[in-house]
Amino acid sequence: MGLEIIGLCKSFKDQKTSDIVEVLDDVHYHVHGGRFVSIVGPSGCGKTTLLRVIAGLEEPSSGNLLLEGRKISYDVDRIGLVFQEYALFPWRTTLENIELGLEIMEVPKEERRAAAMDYIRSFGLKGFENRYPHELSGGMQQRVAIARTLITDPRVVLMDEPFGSLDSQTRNNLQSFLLALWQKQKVTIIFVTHNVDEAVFLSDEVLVFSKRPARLTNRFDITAPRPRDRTSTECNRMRKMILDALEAERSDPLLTEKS
Amino acid sequence: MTGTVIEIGPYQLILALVFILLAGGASLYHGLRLEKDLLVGTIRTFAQLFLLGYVLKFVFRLNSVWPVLAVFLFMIVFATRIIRSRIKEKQVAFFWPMLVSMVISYALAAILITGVVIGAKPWWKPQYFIPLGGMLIGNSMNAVAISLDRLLSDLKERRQEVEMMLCLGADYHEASKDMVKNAMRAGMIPAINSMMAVGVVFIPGMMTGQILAGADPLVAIRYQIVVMVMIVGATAMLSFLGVRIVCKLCFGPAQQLLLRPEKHGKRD
Repeated sequence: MGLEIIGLCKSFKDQKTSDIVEVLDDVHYHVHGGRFVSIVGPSGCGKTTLLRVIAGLEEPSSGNLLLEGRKISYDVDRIGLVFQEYALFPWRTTLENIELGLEIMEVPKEERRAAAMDYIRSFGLKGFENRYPHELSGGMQQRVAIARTLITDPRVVLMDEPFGSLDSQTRNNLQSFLLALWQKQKVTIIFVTHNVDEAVFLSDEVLVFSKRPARLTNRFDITAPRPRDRTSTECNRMRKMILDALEAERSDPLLTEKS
Repeated sequence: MTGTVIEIGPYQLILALVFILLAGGASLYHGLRLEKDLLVGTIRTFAQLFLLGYVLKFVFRLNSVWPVLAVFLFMIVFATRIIRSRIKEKQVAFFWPMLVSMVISYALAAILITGVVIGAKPWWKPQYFIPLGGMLIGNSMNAVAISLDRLLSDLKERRQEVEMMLCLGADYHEASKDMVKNAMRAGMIPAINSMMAVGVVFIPGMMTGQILAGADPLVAIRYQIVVMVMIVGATAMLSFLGVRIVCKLCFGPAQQLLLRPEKHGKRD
């Protein structure tokens, strides 16, 4: 079952020129339940738009989204979204940010506080529950953002370059943290990144998108056993294949010349 | 009203233009290049007010409900157009919903004030209905424009916050609660400030006019109080209603925020 993306198209009207800009072009894919799927593609190709459409923040121009075989109903089906910029509420503490989703769902105060404290403990945020976002490091802020999404028990978690603005050490730590979490909670994750190394390390499947309008051009199954060694021959081989597929989609002539 | 008004004859009117010459001279001296605008502005002031004078005279003489309502409606349509032009955000088509709600709220307020509070008979008596209606519209129009501008710019600026709330299961109402509140407040503050300053910092135009026309200051202030209270009330009603309506228009049927950032695609 899982999430079925059927013939998804999305176009915008350019505000200045009034031209129709096609962003997604007939995207089909079936993300099976509990899988970790990464999406890579040239920057600005429409990966973010795809996530936004799945999250219900944009209406698709055409096509359908099915969850467990039914059309997604955003009133009932929770689709989590984690942004690169964390998007924490600056006037809320760690605890208050994490429990926000439950607050919206009108879960009683003690209950949501207890649930949030569980996440704070398991996310290594103990001692920071009453701090405000600006007092936390980038890595911690992103943990808060992930906890805030997971606490609502989403059917699918969409992540839009969540580790894009972190230094490589923190990034590696959070990748391992996310994997452990995913294996424990068995949640379906769709993960957008421009970092092929990250995609190979984390995913069951990697999807390569074309430049705008985004079409799905290649898919790769990453079968290397977990926990993965980033430097293993298998990982290197996958990386090479994905990079080659991406290279074919590069729009920048300067970059193509150099390589 | 008793007393006599000193009439302003054509010569005095031309004499008053000395002020414009002063302003024009200053503009030339400082190189502001406002002379042309000053000229156009002066001509428009003369033309528009003379036209208004004749229209009012005509409507007063007809003394029938329809021309009064026509003038009223005309003022509201223009006010809506001015609001539309003041708001930089052009993605939301709010002209018609705004016009309808302005007609309804202004009509209610104006009828209440002339028919019930002042007790003019009939309620549309043009000498009361048109100037009071005009003041109502002119004063609250700014507030509505401020509110809507604030709402739209806030929603756009804090788009990510709104969308985060939507993703966490909030409806559009909940997700935009903060922005709606701020917009309503922003619209109300000037009206409340003017209630604070009236009579101390400035003498309102209507009262001035009545006193010049020979009215007892104590009668004039009562009119002024009624008018100010009416303006604050109508402003509140209209900016709250307007903010709600426009906020609803910013979201699609499936509760997506429709306002796009300036350039879409990659966020910065």
